Amino acid sequence: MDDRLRAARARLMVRRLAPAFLYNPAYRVNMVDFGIPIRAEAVDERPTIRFHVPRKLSRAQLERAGIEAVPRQIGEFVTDVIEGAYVLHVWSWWRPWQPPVGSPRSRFATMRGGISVSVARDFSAGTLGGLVRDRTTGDLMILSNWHVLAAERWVAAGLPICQPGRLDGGMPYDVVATTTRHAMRQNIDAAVATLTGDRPLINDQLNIGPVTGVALPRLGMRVTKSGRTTGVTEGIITGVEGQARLWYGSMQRTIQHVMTIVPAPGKREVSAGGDSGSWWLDVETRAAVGLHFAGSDDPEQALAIEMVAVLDALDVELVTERPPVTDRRRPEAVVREAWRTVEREMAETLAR
Amino acid sequence: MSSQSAAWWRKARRARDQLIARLGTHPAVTNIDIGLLDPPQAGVVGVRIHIRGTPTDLVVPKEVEGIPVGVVRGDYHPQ
Repeated sequence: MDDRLRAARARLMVRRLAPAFLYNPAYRVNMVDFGIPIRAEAVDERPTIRFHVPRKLSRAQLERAGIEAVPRQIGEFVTDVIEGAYVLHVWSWWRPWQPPVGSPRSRFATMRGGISVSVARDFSAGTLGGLVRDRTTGDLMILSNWHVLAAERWVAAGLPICQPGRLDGGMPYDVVATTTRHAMRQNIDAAVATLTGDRPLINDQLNIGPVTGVALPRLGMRVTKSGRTTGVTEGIITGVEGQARLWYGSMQRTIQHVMTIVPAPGKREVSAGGDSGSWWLDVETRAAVGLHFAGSDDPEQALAIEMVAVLDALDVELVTERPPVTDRRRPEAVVREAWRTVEREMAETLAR
Repeated sequence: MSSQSAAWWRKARRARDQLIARLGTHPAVTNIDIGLLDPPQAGVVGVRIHIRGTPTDLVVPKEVEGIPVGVVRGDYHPQ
């Protein structure tokens, strides 16, 4: 038979036969093609119909496993069986670059202040400020900005929070807390999120140390913060008791109890985008004096809200114990509920 | 640095509140606080009007209730 005619017939045969073998679970066939046979006893090296299977088995083994044997011959073609278990070689374009371990943008098994965090459904990142406790219930919470933990005027409690933030590779399964309440109605850009208990949060500011308490800001006070973008920076308080007006997307909001911080002598940078939520600490005592929320590049300045006002508005207190604090594990149902919320909101967003 | 008396701070807060009422809605005004006036090395403390750009229609008094008033640059954004 002419080789070209034989090849054409084989192709037609493969096209017609393949579905019957590929979609029939009785045969464990991965692929059917037309190619060079790979068999020890091959006498005919011309291309033939080949069946690719995960594992070649003897006829007895096939019978024991309840698997049908593929036909040895189809028309004039003596078939061949080839081992081949194929998997997708997916390029993980959806998996963002992972920062090095220990970087503020990385995933922390034990969380602390100064690391990346964001709302699970937003491709963003801010800074996890630190650990606070609800004055009424005693629940352990993350304190950061409203525009980091909520970011929507109409936000309901229960918004899942990721560590690291989604911009830094955080995934929906990195949920560590759920938004509980915020203080934007009191003109304070601050919010708290209750820990789910999946990962502990300790009283420690990355590369600075534990917070010792709360203090009022003073003009000329030297302060330091640990933030997701610029890391540890130092500044000087040059203004206090301010009232600022800022644009949050399309909304203009007034923020009260604002202090202004400029870089310490000899330093250029004080903060940048992604540092929101950092806590400014008195360099001498490591007492928290402000919650970072905004800045300007020219001139380089940072804005923070007085920590005392933040804590009162949210009805929380700082946790200053040094030993690691492990939150009591909340019921799995809460985590499942958080998942459902993410999925529902994503579906609604896609539908819009 | 903040060696002002309690009475001075009360006056400064009143001055700040007056200026917020008067200038707080101006689109170029981004923040009004109590702090070090320019140049900060001089150590003069007063009420500061933070502005973005160079507004021509913004009239800032030199002092309010004896508290010095100054203008500083600052175009702030949530970070």
